[in-house]
Amino acid sequence: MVDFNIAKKDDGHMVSISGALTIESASELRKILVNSISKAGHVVLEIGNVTEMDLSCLQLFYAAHKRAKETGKGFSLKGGCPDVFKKAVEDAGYLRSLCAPGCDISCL
Amino acid sequence: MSKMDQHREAYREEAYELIAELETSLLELEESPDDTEQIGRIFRALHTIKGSGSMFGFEEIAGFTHEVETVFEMVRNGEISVTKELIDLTLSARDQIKTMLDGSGLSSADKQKAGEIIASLKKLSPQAEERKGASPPESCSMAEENGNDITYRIRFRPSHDIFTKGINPLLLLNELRSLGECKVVAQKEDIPELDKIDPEACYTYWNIVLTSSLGVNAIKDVFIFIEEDSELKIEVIDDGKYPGKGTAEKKIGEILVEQGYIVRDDLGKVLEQQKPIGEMLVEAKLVDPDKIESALAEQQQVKNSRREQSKTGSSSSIRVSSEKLDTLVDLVGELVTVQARLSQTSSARNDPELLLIAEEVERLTEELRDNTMSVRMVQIGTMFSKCKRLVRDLSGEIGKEVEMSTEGAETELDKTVIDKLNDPLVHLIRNSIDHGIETPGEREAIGKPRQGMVYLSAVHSGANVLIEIMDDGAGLDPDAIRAKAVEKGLIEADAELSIRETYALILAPGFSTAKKITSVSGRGVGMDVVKRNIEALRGSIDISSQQGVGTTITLSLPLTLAIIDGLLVKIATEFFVMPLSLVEECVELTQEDVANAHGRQIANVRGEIVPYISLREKFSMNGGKPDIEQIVITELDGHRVGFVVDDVIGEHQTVIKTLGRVYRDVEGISGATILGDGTVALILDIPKLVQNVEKEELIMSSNSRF
Repeated sequence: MVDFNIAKKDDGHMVSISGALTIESASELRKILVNSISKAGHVVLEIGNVTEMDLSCLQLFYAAHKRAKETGKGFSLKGGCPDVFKKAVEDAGYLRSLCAPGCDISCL
Repeated sequence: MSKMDQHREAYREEAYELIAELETSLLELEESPDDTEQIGRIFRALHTIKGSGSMFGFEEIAGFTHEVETVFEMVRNGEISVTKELIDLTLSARDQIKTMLDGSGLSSADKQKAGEIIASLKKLSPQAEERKGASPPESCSMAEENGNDITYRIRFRPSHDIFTKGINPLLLLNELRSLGECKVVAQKEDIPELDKIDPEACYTYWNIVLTSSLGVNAIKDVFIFIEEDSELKIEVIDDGKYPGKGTAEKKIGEILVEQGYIVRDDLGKVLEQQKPIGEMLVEAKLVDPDKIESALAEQQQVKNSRREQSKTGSSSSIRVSSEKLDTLVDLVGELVTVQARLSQTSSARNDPELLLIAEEVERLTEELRDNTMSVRMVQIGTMFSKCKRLVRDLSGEIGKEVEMSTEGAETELDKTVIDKLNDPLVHLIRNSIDHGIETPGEREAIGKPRQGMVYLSAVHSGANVLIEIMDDGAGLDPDAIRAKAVEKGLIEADAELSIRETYALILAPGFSTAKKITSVSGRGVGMDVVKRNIEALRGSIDISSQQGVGTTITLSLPLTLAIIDGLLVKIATEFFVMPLSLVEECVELTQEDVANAHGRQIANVRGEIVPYISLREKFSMNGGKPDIEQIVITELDGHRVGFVVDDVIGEHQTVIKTLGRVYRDVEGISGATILGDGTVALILDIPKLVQNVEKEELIMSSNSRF
């Protein structure tokens, strides 16, 4: 089970996600990311409570970050990376560049 | 010995090294459980023990090690985590492998223990049982192993619908990682725009560089179930056959051309700009950074693999039994003696041609001596690892929390010294943990951290190595030591002792202040044996302590027991050798100087007052002394002390011969040597001589007070 919560503040969206981020929730995640990036000037992801993550969602984060970069919007992580996220990134060989060149998500 | 026996012996020797490495790595892994490098090292050690064991008929070892390896394969894949229990079990397994190596077979008790270890390991990893069939010891992929590490370039592009087929490509990548050194770089340029992406499709593909001893089939096996739907390209980029021989690592540009990402013409144009090629190619928008990253990974991996190969290739060491080395050292010793005779004869004859030959022989002998000695030098680190294990096991056994840190593991010492140092060192560490360091509760009560500390260090100091064993325990209690010594009749109740002498009492035979005897120490038979062992190595022990703060025991040991550089001196008709490493300079001592000192044994050396010891007086040697004597000035613990002799002959390569039993207790003499003409010269123990004179002066000054 995954739970999404979007909090809007000023020009930003805080997307808090908890639970398993797997292919079952990929469609919903895509919708939320498309929506937030198009409407907000800055999207902050809070994924500290994510318990599982697979490649389908990693690809979505990559695409979302790339889009944010291209459109001059902010896209960042809040509260550090959970280990499941780091492991997915490492296993998938996404290390060093989660997203577009110059990605500044420091925990990676 | 048959060829097979030779191979089996070679396996045994290699396996001993591997289990030593295994122990070190396990202890290090316990300190940093996430260290993937250590996990890899442990896995490789187990794999080699198993694989070679099976090859040379050590089926029992292969079978047992296979079970442990299976568990570590899961650790490597992140399926089970590193816990204290896992380390404990693997250390026990390591001991079990050692027992198997030591003997010809296992006793029934050993077999039962081995079974228990395996059962416990399986409990830690229920899935291990399922995997067992995957790589039994007999096969252990040996058939496919080819000796050399091969580096492969693999492109894996799964079909878009791989997720929906229930296959997780990340698990395949992890399986690939278990085959060897692997670098996986995701290629993400196919991932569409966020709003066009099909969330259930896989767009990522991978460029992988894998260095493995396994053949291409082992790699294909990983992808066996998805081979038809996926693009899988495997190329050998380095077969590891010619490490470092005319096959320079490929440049990034060449790799990218080979991978088909750029054409050679474009590369040429960009190269003309003279910037780092990766940067230029990205700027020129010819490739994206992912490609550069995978090319860099490939370049690095090939470089590492070749370095490893050439390390094993070029350092092709051979094993020589220590007896052969001892014989070699003895022969060099004899040669040094004969060379001294040659030098002496040639200078007596004053024949220029002979002198030239003698000089040449002297130079060569010196080189030969140094080289032979260096062959016997081994790093003290192996012993430190043993001590770490000891601390770990012992502290657990007696319920204390002790951490051990070491420094100077790379310090080299003669193998003979290291071999003989083992028992004393183990005893001293046992004492530190058992008597020195308090229980966690006691430590907390006095405001110390729960965890005690034992610090072991080794450092070169001139011709000696200083080994320090320091703990932050309760320290020595001088009053308790004194009371015990009186009780045991070692000293008189009113004896006046300096603090150093009081501490030295614990080295006396039969001394023990521990109130209770434990299985670890406290039987009072230890420290005197330690002292005897250290002195047998021509070493010394120094104890310093502060109550409540801790104790430091310093062992000073000679680098080698065989040959030293000495300064040959003469008093009356006798020759003596002083270790050259302690000698600073030689100055003259005239009758006038002696008169000016008004009976005190001090000399004025360029304005500096240097006390001296007259060896003629010290050794009660008869005969008239020359008008001009020589002071050989030495440096000891930062203080300059002179030794007055009749004549300084010169440098002398000294082959140390031990003194017979009759002379063993003569203080101030550490051995003897034979000179070129067959004369015996005694080797002076400078520190002992100084200590001796200090003691005499102390007694004299205390007597003069009464």
